[in-house]
Amino acid sequence: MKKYIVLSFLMVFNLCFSFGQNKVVKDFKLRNVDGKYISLSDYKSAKGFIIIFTCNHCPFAKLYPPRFNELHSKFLPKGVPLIAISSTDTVQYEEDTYPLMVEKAKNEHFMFPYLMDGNQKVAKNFNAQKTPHAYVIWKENGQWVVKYDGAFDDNGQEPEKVENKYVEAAVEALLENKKIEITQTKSIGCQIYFRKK
Amino acid sequence: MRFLIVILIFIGVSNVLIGQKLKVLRFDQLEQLIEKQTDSLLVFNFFATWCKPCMQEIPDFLKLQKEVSDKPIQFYLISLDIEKDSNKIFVSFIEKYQTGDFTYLLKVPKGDWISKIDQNWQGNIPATLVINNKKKIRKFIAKPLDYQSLSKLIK
Repeated sequence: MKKYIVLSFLMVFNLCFSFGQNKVVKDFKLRNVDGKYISLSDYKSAKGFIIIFTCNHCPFAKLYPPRFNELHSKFLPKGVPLIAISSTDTVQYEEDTYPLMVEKAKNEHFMFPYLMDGNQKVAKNFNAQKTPHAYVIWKENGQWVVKYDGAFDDNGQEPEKVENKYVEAAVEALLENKKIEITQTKSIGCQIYFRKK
Repeated sequence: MRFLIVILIFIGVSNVLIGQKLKVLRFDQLEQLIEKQTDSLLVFNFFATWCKPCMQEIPDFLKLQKEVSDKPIQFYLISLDIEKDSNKIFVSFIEKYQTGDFTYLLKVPKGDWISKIDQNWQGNIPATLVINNKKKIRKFIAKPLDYQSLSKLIK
């Protein structure tokens, strides 16, 4: 009996460990606000991506687009584009429907793709919990490996008082082949509710 | 002249409204509330006015609160709304539900405060903490509750 308990503990531990360290995400094909479909594989020379699950309606997400623009312009030339994905339930939140995404991207001059994840499959694959929820993924042996998962930075409400730019620091570390100091953070955001079907 | 009086009255009224601002709580103050040694059961509901499921469960909370008002149970509504919106929250929420006495706006601190409330919490709301330090009761539910599930939690 004891043996089984130890064994199951080890299994759970292993599971947590492998999940936290080397989560691999799948490529996707989603419609951008310009009407075209985008996949990670379209970016032949990309070393990695900053993937942000965000949406129109969430007050926390609304604070960030200027910062997304800034980071996209900084890292696109270095082979790390930023892609924003909206996966919230449009049945619950009309503000998150595609035509309004198109409008927001235009009005707020999004420089990065803003993709519609209508059936929420991509959010499920990433295990994205809320908006905004940021990921840094990196290409390793032809696979996309999650290197950072969590908040974009440590101060949504006051951009001028940000002390930790988690995403930026992670990408910089990866580009310089250094260890990422903070690989996971928690933050408040609007929950992504997955539809039952 | 009459116009001026109207303006003066308007300024006066709005000052009274702004005077009863939403109470702001620092994280260390929230921790003190949570760790309080008391005979009462403490119920903390983390919500935000922009969070639909949070707003859906508030009426159930208030209904239950009325029903157990003779028991030693203390309710706190902890808003995670954005501070800039606090006036709007005051008008739309506190005025509607009359919960000014026990509603607080949390001044969200730097660092991982979310794990300090509960190790397994990811920061999703609504979330409810039911605690009594003396009796070593501590329950944390990070999902929407309805009248029945909440009454089970506090009974």
